Amino acid sequence: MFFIPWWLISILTFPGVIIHELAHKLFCDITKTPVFEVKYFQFWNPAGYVLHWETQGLKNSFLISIWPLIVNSIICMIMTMPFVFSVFILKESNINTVFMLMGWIGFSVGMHAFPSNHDIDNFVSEVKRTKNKGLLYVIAYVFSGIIRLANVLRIVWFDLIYAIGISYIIPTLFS
Amino acid sequence: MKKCPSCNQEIQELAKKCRHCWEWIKETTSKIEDIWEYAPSKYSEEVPSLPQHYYPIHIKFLGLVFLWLFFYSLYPLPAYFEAAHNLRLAEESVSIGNYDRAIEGLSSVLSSNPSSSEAKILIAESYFWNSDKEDDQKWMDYLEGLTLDKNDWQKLSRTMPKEYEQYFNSVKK
Repeated sequence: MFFIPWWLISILTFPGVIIHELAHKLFCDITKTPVFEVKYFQFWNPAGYVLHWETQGLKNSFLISIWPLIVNSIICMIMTMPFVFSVFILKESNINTVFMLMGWIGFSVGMHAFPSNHDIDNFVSEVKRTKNKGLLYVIAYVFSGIIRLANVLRIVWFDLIYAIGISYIIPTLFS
Repeated sequence: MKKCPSCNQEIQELAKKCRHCWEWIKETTSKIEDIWEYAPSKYSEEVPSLPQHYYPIHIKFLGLVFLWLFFYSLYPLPAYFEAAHNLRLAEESVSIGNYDRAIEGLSSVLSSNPSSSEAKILIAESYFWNSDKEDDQKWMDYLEGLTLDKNDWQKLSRTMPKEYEQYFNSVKK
């Protein structure tokens, strides 16, 4: 497994970082959660962040912390489709440059789909505050465990595998 | 307490923005944990929140570019779905021996995606299987200019008429 410095990965996939933070900011605005500072991209760790007020309620916490995963995954699926069709399924020799650009952006967005451990901590702390500690509580903990594991597995390129995997789903299923 | 570097007024130790002159205090933080120590309670005392739906101009521009690319990616999808579907049907037709149907489907794929090497190789294979001498020029036209990998060569050489094997072996070298 070859090693590439995290800052180089961030630079190569900066559209994904920007879209990820943009999604957080957007859902903060939708849920009327005050935002104090936004860094859409920077050349050091963390590559981007959104500083906001504590989320009010489980729904808002879910929207802010978890929805960027869903939004980024959908964007990755759709934006990479022309590239996947052209390169991997039809194997065209003349590939549209715009499709290549969309493929790069789409895979970058997919690679940065997963919430950070901080996002998950916010969500789990909100779940703990809810009065109903039934199935949602269990699902939240299981989900947070999966996301933490995914973040750890980034060292073995799990984020890239995820981006490639979801980009293949629709072309494979519906063609 | 500390002093603001711009107006020299006293501000909170962990303040990121001066409440007197509204200047940002230039302090770098290298870890997300350090950033989160400042927020949200310290921020609420010293720093107003950003206006709702406030996005810098360069982010708005990038967002517009991104939206344009996103919707641009949607327009070729119906044609690609149809081409991929026809390709899959053609592969099934070849597997059951219905080569005329495969050729018809692959011709449709190549009319919308003329540079598809997958379709060209499969249509050449279908013409080989058809064993119709009049089609020889057609499959040669389809394979012209293509770069074939080992798997493609193996697929074609299984069905290639013997009289063309020598030609293809010389081209392969």
